[in-house]
Amino acid sequence: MKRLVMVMVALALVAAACGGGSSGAQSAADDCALGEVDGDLNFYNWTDYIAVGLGAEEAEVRDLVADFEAEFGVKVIHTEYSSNEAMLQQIDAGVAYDVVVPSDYMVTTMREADLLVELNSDAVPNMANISELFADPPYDPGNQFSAPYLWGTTGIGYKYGSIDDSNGVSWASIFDPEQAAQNAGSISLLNDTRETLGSALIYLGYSLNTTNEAEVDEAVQLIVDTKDKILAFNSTDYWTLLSSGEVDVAQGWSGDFFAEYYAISTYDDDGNVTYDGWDDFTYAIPIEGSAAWVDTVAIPTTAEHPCTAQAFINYLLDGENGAELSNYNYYASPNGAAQEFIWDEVLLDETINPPPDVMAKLEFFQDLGDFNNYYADAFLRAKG
Amino acid sequence: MVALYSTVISTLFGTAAALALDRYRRWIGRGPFDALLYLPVIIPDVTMAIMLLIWFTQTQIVTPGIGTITLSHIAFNISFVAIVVRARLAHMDPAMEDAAADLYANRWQTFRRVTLPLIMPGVLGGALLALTLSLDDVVITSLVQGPGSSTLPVYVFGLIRKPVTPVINAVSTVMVTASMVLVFASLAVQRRGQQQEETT
Repeated sequence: MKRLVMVMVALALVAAACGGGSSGAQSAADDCALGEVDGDLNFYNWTDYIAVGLGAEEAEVRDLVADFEAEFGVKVIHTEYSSNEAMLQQIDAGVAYDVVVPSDYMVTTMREADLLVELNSDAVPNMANISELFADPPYDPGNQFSAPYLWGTTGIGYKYGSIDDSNGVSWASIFDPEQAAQNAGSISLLNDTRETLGSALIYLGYSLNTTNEAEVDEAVQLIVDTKDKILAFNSTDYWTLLSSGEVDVAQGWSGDFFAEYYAISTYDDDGNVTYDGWDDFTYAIPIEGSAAWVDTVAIPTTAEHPCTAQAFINYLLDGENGAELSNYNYYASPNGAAQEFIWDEVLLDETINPPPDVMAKLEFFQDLGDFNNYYADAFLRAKG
Repeated sequence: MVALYSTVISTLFGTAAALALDRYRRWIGRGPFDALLYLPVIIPDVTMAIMLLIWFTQTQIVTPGIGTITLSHIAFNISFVAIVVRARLAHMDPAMEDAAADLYANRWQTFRRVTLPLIMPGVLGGALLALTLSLDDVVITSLVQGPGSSTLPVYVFGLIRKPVTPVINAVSTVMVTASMVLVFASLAVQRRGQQQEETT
């Protein structure tokens, strides 16, 4: 028993020692000069989210990781993850990574849990390249703790002919009883509290960040009324529902639709397209507006090389480098200086880079504090 | 590599644990130890993953990476090996060992010449099972992985963020085939052991 107590005391001491390390990364980060490196970079990114090695060659983009290694004389240890939550748990437990790629809402969570290092503007001057829309995002005011990596939108993916898109696609194709009746039983909505309610709120003409209970209740009623025409609330494989024909209209995230249309396309042995997914399906940001999502780069407090980390973030924010991220992933770049280096097939695609009038109608989800619970509750009521 | 190392080590420990539990029936710790051994089989992967992650980061004996992945795999594999080997031991006739002792074999000789060959099908079966489990694990690995280290299943799982590409199809086919071969091999080895026993 005595021994057990001693072991526990020892563990507690070790835990305390670990806890003390976090402020170290912050003060080290504050002292970094521009371009200074302090060791190899542990880069923790989503799977296949940056072009490396053969993947870069195949996609005809530059290998950003290899170029960074050559330019700064350090090694990049590139590790990949598949969920924000798993990454959060690892950082919270103290696993040392220098740069991570959290999505917008995860930045808020990590920032509030004191898991992120504040960026030092002297070491990351390329922050100035970030375009206006992303300069002061609600998930991280002033981009103090994060820099945007790539962004995309929520919208409607649909089979040509299923909805009338002659005057642009509207949320009415899902929420207007008459229009929805054309596709009754073959519509899917996201299974996501804020996204699903948000689309209804926008259709009703409200902000998707409203804290007015009556407005949220109205959105709930709208979803309840539409439910008999909806096949599923699905956030995890709605793109397959669409391409397999189970639904013809689906609410979802831009990147998922693009990837699915690409994946269902077929090629002959010479690499010529024999079937193009885009012939049958497309994606549109509804004319009433929609939500935008952002993935960011940030430095966790467990970082052991905060200077290299900031040098890397600054490197990614460079116009030419930022453009390569966009060219590889077919997502839009939040980097103003990058736009001129992005391929026309990405830049001029209005489903990826919406025109200014649509951009003006996009909103980010804000963290609503205690009112989040009202949304969670409302969504349960909506789903019944 | 992770799968190979963890298989070898967990087979050694798992067999030893099974033998110990089978032999020392009067040891006070047997009950609790037995229950403890079944724990990794029963508790959800996520729970085990978080427990291991916290343990690794708090003790800091091993930095997260290939080392922690291998240790975690060993931790859950030991149980499976031990269970398979114990099933085998339960069927073994204790008279065999007594006979060996009667013929002046010392304990090591008895183990090497009599016990081990008899439980070999169980040990091999357990090892193949461990290899399969280790090759298939995603949940635990994705939480205990560290800079520069990961395993194939975790990479494949990550790829589904971008809807299905041919790479996933290819890799999945290879892994399903490998898993099936291993499971059948494991069953075959155990089956043959039983037949042998029946004929002797």
